[in-house]
Amino acid sequence: MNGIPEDYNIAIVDDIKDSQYNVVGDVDKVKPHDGAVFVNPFIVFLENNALGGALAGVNKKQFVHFYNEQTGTGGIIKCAGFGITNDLMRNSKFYRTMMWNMTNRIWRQKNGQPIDLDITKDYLGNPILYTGETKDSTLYYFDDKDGQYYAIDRIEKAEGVNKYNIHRRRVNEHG
Amino acid sequence: MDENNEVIDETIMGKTINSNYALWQTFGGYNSMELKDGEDVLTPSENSIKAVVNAMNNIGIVKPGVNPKEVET
Repeated sequence: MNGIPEDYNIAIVDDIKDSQYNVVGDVDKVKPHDGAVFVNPFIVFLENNALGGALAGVNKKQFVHFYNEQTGTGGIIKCAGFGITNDLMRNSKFYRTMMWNMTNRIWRQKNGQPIDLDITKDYLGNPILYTGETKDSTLYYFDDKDGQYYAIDRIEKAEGVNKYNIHRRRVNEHG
Repeated sequence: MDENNEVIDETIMGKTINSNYALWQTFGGYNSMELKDGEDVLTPSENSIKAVVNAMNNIGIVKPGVNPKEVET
């Protein structure tokens, strides 16, 4: 929750494989992700916010090079970083599982104890407006449990650690 | 809203939000929708992710001994 972190957790995931054929008769195995890096989507948007007018898309290609003058050796690291988007997750359980593993980490203080945050206020104590200023800025979602559309009107802090009351309104497909 | 612009239904849900994932789910998760400019039908959206980023950019952590109002730019 504190923005871009100093340390990252990285997981190595086995790529899926499938057979590939062509009209000449060549047969091979393909690995569709081919060394791809999947990136926490919140980090992708935070990076773009920091880049201002030079912002890139959701998918980026990181390029790192280094050189050791004493030994005359060097290296290059290049890999594609794919931000996990809602679009991807809607289409694949694989991405939904990855999102859960990436981001379902309890907010903690530096001493490891869970922290009681108030997400409704900024660091100066001013309210954070997430939704509902205008019809276009309202947060809507589809609830796949009951098949209905909802608009979030407001979020308020409730009694208890990290407890909130979510005011939501059932709407039709026109909002 | 229905055809007569009347509120259809309103509920208050109690929820524990203690991780970025829980916050993203609160905003609709991957079922996030939006009304795009010039359209009157809800379409799939990335707004739930952007709303979490909005929280990250605003909440911040105030270091001990620092008055945030003095360092505001």
